[in-house]
Amino acid sequence: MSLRSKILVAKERAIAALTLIFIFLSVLLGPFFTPYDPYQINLDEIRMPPSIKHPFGTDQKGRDILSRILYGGRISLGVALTATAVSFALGFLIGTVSGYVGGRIDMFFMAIVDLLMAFPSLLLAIAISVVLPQQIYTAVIALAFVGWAPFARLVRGYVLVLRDEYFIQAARAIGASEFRILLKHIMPQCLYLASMYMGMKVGSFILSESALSFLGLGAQPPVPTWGGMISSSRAYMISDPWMVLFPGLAIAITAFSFNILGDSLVTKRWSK
Amino acid sequence: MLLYILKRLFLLIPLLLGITLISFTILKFIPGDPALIMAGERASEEDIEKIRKALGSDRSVFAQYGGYLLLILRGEFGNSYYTRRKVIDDIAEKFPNTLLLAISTMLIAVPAGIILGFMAGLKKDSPLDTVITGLSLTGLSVPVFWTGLLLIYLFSLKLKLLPPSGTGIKFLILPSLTLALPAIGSISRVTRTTVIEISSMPYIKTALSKGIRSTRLYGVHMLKNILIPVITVIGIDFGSYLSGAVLTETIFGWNGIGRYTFEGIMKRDYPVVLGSIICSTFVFVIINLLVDILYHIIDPRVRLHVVKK
Repeated sequence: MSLRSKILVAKERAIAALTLIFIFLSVLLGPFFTPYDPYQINLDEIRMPPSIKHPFGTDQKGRDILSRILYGGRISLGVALTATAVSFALGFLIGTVSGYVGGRIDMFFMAIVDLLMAFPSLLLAIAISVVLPQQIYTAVIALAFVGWAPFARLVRGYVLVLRDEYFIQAARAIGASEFRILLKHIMPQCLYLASMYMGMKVGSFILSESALSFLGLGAQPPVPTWGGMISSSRAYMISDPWMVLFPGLAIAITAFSFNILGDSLVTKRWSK
Repeated sequence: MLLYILKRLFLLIPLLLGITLISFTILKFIPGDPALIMAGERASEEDIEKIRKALGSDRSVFAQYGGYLLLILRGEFGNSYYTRRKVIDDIAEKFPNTLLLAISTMLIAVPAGIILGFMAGLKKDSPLDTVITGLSLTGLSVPVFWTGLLLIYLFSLKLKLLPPSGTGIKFLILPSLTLALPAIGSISRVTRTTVIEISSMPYIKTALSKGIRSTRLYGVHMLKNILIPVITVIGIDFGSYLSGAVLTETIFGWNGIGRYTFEGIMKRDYPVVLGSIICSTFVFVIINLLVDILYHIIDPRVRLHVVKK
């Protein structure tokens, strides 16, 4: 890789990281500073275009859109990141154990992985969240239920390679227990690969969360979510496009920054 | 070859059993009598009776699953709560529309993705590459339901070029474009990677040193090798076309299975939601099977690999 492109990747990564830090800080701290209550209905100020008073305008109930995006970000990002973390943890655990132990356990888990991956993942998440009670955690359960499978498959594949490496044989030769080998030698080796994959996947978890909340699954109104805000203001698109524009931008910019970061992780790895 | 296809078809059986097992489990999660949930409370007595006979709560869970499997095999997905029509009839009527949408999405995405990927890959690390890579990443980062709304705003309301919604060829352009954006992103990325990879291969250098025309080099020698990963990506992405249809068809008023599912979700019309999702999954599984078989036809290396095994 040329020096110029290395610098470019480094720049991209820095900008994406700064954007994400900015988004997370605003979402975490912003609600303490906004003068508006995201739930406060104000019929005197419905569907106001962006102005100094309301930088992103107001929605059909006169609520400040910026405040709702900040609060909604807590929920949307919270759900997406929790689902990513749960998928990572489950997939990592099942993948390493399944790959290392092998035999029937491996066959059993890989059959489940194959099965879950046979579904278009978002459709399965929709089917699961439709039948569960509509709560914030519903979306987490649905996304994690389908999300862990690719992690498990990836990690398991890597464990199969590692299993026959010399350092594993050496550890076994000096009498390390199977459990210790798994915990101290296999798992740390897989951690890098799995976290790299997680970095690549966060963006798609954010998009899936926005799709679920757009469909009204998960957190219920009046609780704001980014996808839910788009779906509830869809009808006002013609006259007041900002109501749809800003929540979508929030989703797109966040997902884009995560994707840039994920990408640069892979590039870094390959160029070694 | 034939043996491979037969083997794959045989492997389909446990997969289809697994898919129905998951949908059965989901059905059991809905509070209430499964038979009433599938048939709908306003369904005719005989319809309810027919489904109750299969899912009877007096029988063991295994027997219930067996009954459910038989129902699915007979194409019995229950009735819509609101129209009381058979879900399978609705799906049969609407699926061609969604398939049409998926095909026209690919007609946009495959050429556009391959051309962009080629341009980026051949001029690796150039400003053009940076722009294309950035654009394809953008395509993969924007929610389709949002871009759909923006395209309607831009092309239908502001420029008045294209109709916002309806069913027909003219109405197909905007929804396909919406679904094509992420697909262009993934196809151009995989094309770019492959172009970079094969550019340094000996056979390309040989062709170049023979003084081959560049159209032939790109159009024949390189394209053949690019098609294989592109087909893989199409197979994987087909699942996102199907779920993307759920998110976009309603926006464009496209009368396909996606809008049908969307309305089912909004009204909690469980037979509609489950029925469409099972059918979409079956289609997804079959598409991926076709992709695998297609590999064998177009890539002799894959065939050899299997024979050696």
